[in-house]
Amino acid sequence: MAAIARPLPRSGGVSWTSAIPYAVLLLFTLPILILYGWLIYGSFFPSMQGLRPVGGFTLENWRFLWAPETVEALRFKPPIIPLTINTFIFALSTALVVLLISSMAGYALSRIRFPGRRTFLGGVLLLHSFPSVTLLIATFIILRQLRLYDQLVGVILVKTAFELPFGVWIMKGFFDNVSWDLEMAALVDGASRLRTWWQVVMPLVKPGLLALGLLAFVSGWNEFLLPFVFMPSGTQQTLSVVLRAILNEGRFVDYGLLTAVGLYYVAPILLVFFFAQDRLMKVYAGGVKG
Amino acid sequence: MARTGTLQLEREEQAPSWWRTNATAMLFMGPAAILVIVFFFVPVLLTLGMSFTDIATATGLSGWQWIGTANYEQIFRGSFTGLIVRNTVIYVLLVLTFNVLVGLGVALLTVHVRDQVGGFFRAVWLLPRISPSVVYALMWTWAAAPPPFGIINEFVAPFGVAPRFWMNTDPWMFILFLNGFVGASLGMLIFTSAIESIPEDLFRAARVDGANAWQIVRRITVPLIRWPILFVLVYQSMSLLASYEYILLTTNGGPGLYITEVWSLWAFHTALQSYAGNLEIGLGAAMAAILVLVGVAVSAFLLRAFRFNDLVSEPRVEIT
Amino acid sequence: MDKYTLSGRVAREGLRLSRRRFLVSTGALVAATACSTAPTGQQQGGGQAAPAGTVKLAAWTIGPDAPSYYRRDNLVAAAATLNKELEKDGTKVELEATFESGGSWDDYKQKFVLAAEAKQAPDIVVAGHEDMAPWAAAGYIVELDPLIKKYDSKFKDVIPTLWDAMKLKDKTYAIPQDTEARPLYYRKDLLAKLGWSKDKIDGLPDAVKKGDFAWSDVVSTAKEAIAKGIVDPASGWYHRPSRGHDFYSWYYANGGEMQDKASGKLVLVPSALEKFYQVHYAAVKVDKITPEQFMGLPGKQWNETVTAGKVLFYNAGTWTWKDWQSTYKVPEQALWDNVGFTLVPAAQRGGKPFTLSHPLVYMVTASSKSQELALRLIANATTPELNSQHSVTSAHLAILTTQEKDPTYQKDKFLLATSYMLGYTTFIPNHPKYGAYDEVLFRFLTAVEQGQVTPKQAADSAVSELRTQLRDELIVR
Repeated sequence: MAAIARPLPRSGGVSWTSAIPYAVLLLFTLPILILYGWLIYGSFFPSMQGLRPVGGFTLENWRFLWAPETVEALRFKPPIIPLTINTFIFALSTALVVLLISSMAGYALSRIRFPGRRTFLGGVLLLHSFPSVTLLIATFIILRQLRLYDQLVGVILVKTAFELPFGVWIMKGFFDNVSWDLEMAALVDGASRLRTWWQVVMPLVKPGLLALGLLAFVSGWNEFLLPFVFMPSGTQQTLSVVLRAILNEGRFVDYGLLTAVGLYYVAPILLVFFFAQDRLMKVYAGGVKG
Repeated sequence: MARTGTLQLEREEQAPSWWRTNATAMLFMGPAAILVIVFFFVPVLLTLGMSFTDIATATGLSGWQWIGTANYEQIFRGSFTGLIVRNTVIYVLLVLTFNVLVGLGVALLTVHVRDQVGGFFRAVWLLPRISPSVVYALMWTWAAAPPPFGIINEFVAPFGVAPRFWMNTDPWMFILFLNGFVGASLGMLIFTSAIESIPEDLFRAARVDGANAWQIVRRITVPLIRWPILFVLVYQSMSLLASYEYILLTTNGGPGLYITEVWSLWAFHTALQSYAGNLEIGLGAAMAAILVLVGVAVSAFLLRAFRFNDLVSEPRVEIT
Repeated sequence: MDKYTLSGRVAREGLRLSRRRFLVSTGALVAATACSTAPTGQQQGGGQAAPAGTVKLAAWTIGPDAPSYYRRDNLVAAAATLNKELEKDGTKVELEATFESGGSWDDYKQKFVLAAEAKQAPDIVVAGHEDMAPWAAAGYIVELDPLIKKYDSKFKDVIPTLWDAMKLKDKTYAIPQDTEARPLYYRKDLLAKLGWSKDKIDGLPDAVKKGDFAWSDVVSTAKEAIAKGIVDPASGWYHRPSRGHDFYSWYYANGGEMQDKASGKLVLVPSALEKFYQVHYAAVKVDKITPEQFMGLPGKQWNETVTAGKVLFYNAGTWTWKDWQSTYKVPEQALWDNVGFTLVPAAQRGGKPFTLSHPLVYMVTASSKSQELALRLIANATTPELNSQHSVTSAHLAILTTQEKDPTYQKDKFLLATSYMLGYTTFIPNHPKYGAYDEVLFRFLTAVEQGQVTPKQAADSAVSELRTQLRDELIVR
C-alpha cells in the first residue's frame, strides 16, 4: 500500500537518488531525536554544557529515587513516589471513566435512532476543538459548587469531560465497523440492548477500547493545567505540577537532577509508546477521520 | 434513567412511545450528556454571564456588580489589544503553516521510503505529542538556553550564527519550533492514511506518462488529499487559537511587552495570574467569551465545509 | 450464540438486572475515585474529627528564596510555645504548615484566591503586604486590630513605621513577618582596577547617602569600566532580571509617587515615569551598560555571572547575600572582600538616595475557625529570637526594635551594615487595583528595554492605559 508514491523499480542496483528521501527525513527529524537523546544522556552526568557532559558518568541525578532527603531542590516538595502513585491513579481513573462513558455514548450514536442524535454528533465534533481551557474560572465555580475543588475526583471529571468528544467520536467509529449480524442475532433472541452491548459488541471492539484507554491514560498522565489550577494544595498533587514548581526554581537549576526527574516522568509514556505505537497512531489518525 | 422511563410510562398514557423508544438511548447517552452539560455548556453560560460583571479578587465571587459591556469596551479600547490580536494571528498562521507543510512533507517522505523506516519516523514524530508538556517544554527551554548550556547554539555555530539566548532573542522562532513539532504529527498521520488510500493506478499511469516525483506530488497527490488538508487547516487553527499551555510553560508571553502573548494566554493571565494581587475575572471572562464566539464560528464553518449531514447519516463516516 | 436463546421474558428480567448491575458498578467506580481523594477533604479547614481540645491550624508560607524556610519553621516553633500557654485550658494546637521553595508568586496567589473562594483557605497565609488590599476587599482575610489590642504586649516592639504598610484605610490586616532593603551592590575589586583608592571604595555608601555620588556617576563609572575592558561590554549594571518591586526605586528617585495619602487612591506622576523609563532605556540602548534582551534571563545565569565578578554594579535584595553563599557557594569572606552595597543613588547630585522594602506579612483568613488562636500563633512567632533566626538565615532585616539587641542578630555583620537603609526606604501601595497598576508599569518597562517604544511613548501610553483601567481610582499629577 505504502508503495504507491515510490519510484518504479529500477533495473540496476540502488541509485543515489533513492537515498535522498531518507536523508531529508532524517534531517527533518533530527531535532526531535536530539532532544530526547539529550534528555536521556544528560540524566547520567552532573551537568551538561551543550552536548558535552561536565564530569563523568554518574547515577547521582537519580538519587531522588533512593535518597530524596539529600536533594536540596526537593526539600520542600512532596516525595516523588507518592506523587507517581497519584499521577497513576489520576491517569488510570480518567482512562476508565472515559472508556466507560464514551463507549456507551459511542454505541448509542452508532446504533440507536433517538431525537437529538444529530445535534449531539455535531456538538461532539464542535467540542472537539473547543477552547475549554480558557473557561477555567467557570469550571472552578462549578467544582466549587459540587464541593469538588482540590479533590482528585473533581479533576478526573473535568479531564474526562475534556477527553469525551474525542473518545465518543472514536468509539462511534469502532462500533460503526462492527457488523450488525451478531448483534442482530442477540437482539432477535431477546437480549436487552444493554446486555447485547456489554456481552456481544464490547468484546468485538476490544482493540479499540485498548487503544482509546491507552490514549486517555497517556493524556491523563501528561495533564498539567487541570491539576495545576484545580488541585493545587491537595496531598494528591501530580508529577507535572511539582516538576513545574522545580523548574520555576530558576536559582537551583540543577540540570542533571531535572533531566533525571523529567526522564523518570516521561519514561512510562515512552514504554507505552514502544509497545503500542501502531495502535496509538491508528487512533490518532482515526480520531479526526471518524 | 430507565427507572424514570418506566414510571413515566405508567403515569402518562398519552405519550408512552417516546419514553419507551428512547429509554435505552437515554441510558446510554446519559453520563456523556451530563458531563457535556456540566463541563461545557454551563461554563460557557457562566463565562458569558461573568463577562458582564466586575468580578475580581477584590470583589470575590459574592461582592460583584453587573457592569454591562464595560469589560468589552475596555478590551476594544485597551492599548495592548491590537498587539495581542496580531500575535495571535501570527502564532496561528506560523505554527499552522509549519504543521501542515512539515506534516505533509513527512507524510510524503515516509510513504516514499521502506515501510519499517517510514513507521519509525512517524513514530518519532508522534513523541512530542504524547510527552508531558512540562517535560517537552523543559527540553526546548534548555536547548535554547544561553551559552554555554544550550545545544541550539552548537548546531548553528558552524554557520556563523553568534551564540545567544534563543528564547529571549528570537522568541517567535522558539515558539514556532516548540509548537510546530508538537502539531505536525496530526497532519502527518491524517495525510499518511489519505495518501495510502489513493489508488495506485493513478501513480502508475502518471509515471508511464513520464511524470517526475514532484509533478506526481503536485498534480496527483495534493489535489486528491485536499479535503484532509483543509480539514487539518481548520481543525488545527481552532486548536491553536485555544491553546496556550506550551507558551505558558516557556516564554509565558514575554519577553518584553506581551511579545509572545496570545489571546487565550491573555485571558488566562488576566483571570488567573497576577504578580501583585488582583485577578480580573470578569475581564478575563470577556476575553474568553470572545474566543468562544470565534471558536463557534470556525467550527460552524468546519461542519459546513465537511458536509456534516453526510458525516452523520452514513453508518460509517469518512472524510475524503 | 446459545446464550441468547432465551425467552423474551427472561431477557426483560435480564435487562432489569443488567441495568441495575450497571448502575451499581458505575456508582462503585465513582465512589472508588471519590474515596481515593477523601483524606484531603478532611485535612482542610481544620476542626472536625480531631480529639476534643485539639485545634487544627493550617498555614501557607512561601520563599520563594530557599533560605527563607524559617517563615514556616518559626510558626512551628511558635506552636510549641503556644501549646505550653494553652496547657492549662486543655487546648492543643496542631499546626500543618507548608513552605514553598522556588515557586512563583503568581501561582501561589492564584492558589490562595481559589482556595479562599472554595472556603478551603488555610488559617494563616504569608504573602506580600500589598496583597491585603484585594484580599481584604474580597473578605478573604480579617481585620486584626481588636486581637492586636488584646495581645498588644506581644507586638509592642514592632518597628512603628512598618505598621503603615500593614494598614488599609486605617485598619490593620496583617502582622509583619520580615522586611528587607534592595541595595545596589558593587564590585570592590573591579573599582580598584579602575584606580579607585580603598578609602574611596569603602566610602561609596557614604557618598551615596550624602548625594555626592548620583545615578549619573554610576552610569559613567560603568561606561568607563567597559571602555577600559575591566568588564565585558554591557556588563556595567545588571538590574533584576525578572518582575519585581525593585524597579520602583528609580521611579521614586525621580520624584514619583504611588499613592495619595489622604484618599488612598493610586497616583501616577508622568514626568517621573518618563525619567524612570529613560534610566532603563539609556542603560540598554544609549550607554549600553546593561545587555539587550535582559529581562527574562534565568536567575541561575544572572547569579552565576554576578558572583563570578563579571559585573560592576548590580541590584538585588538583601536576601541574595545569603543566597549567594548557600546556593552559589561563595564563601562569606569572599563576598566581604569583593562586594560592597549601597542605597540606590539619587537621580541628581545633592538629591536623596532610595531603596524599596517589601515586608512580607502574616494574615489571618476569614475561613479560619480559630482566628484568635491563629493570631496568638503569629504573636508567638513574632519574637526577637525567632525573627532574628529568620533574619540571619535569609538576610532579611529586623521587624522588631528588640532584634537589634538580640545576640543572634548582632553577630550578623551584614544585617547591621544594611539596617540604616530602612531610613531611606519606600513601600509599594496597599490598593485593591495595585496589581493592574504594576502590570502596566512593568509591561512598558520591558517594552522600553526591548526598544519597542521610547520612554516618552511608554509613559504616555501607561498613563492612558491606566486611566482606562482604573478610572477614578487613579490620580495623575
